[in-house]
Amino acid sequence: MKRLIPTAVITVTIAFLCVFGYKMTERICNTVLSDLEECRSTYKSGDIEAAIKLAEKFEDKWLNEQKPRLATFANHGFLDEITVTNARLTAFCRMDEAPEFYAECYAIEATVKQILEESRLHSESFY
Amino acid sequence: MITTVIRTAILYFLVTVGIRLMGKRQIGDMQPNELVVTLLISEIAAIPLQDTNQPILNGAAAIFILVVLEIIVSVLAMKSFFVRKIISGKSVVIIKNGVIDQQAMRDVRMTVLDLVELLRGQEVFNLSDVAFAVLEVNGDLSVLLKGDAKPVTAKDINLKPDDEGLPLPVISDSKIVDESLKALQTDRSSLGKILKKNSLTVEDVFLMMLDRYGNFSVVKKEKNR
Repeated sequence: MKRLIPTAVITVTIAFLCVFGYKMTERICNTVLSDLEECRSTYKSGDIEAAIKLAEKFEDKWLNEQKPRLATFANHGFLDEITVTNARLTAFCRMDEAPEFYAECYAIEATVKQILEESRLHSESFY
Repeated sequence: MITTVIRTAILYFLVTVGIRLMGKRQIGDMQPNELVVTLLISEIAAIPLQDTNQPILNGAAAIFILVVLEIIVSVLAMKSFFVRKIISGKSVVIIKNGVIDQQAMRDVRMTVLDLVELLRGQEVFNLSDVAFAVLEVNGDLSVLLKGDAKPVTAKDINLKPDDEGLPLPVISDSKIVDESLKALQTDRSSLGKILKKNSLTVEDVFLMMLDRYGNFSVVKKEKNR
């Protein structure tokens, strides 16, 4: 009994962290994807100034809010990858280099989807 | 660098708490499942240390899941003989009525040399002295000697030695251990009287063992060189 109480507490804590971690990762990743899409569509519409502002805001939000929160649950390698790609994205937006800008958008999208995929529970995870 | 230092400290405390929760056991006394969990914990703890890309929470969760499973399995094993048999196996009688059970030895893949070595570990050098030998689940060999090979006990020669109380350390490195005094149902003033009677002070004593009958032994503290 002496050990069963801490065991129960640990089990509940881990279960809570699993659910909380999954929900938080999903929410942040979806926000990142929608922010990225907004930036991409603004750039596509030809409003470069607005796209630069969005890219800067996106980078700032990623560095100060989203990345630190995701770091508790997601692989730091992916997060660093997004940080570096994000910096290039803003630079390409400023230089109006469309192919490179879109390539960086796809790279961020792919990495975010990879983070989401890793946090999800599916049969592939077991083998 | 600082990340590694902090992560190492965090994991050290987590592993210590985990092992403490599992309970006290020497490596040699572990059941097979406990040994597996201990090995796995040490391996898992190393992953977030080596790979700083891994969130420390992943390692901590894995460690604590193993601890939780280990505690659940040991509780089940305590309650159910069947579970105990599945998880830990069962002891095997290797020598029965002085006769080696060769089939049992083959079953546990034990050679005669292994058996002789284990017997020597039990201070038995003559196989013919053994009535029963049981290989326990943790790999130890328990031996029951034949009647004529058993050492003489006080009971055999009708002696009734005095009951010995358990000596406890009441002073350790010049500090009074109140827990021991409480267990011996005595107090600091009684201890002080014993010390005074023997011209000692608490500061003079490195170690003092006392039992409930008032018997004590003292190791004096060496003067600083």
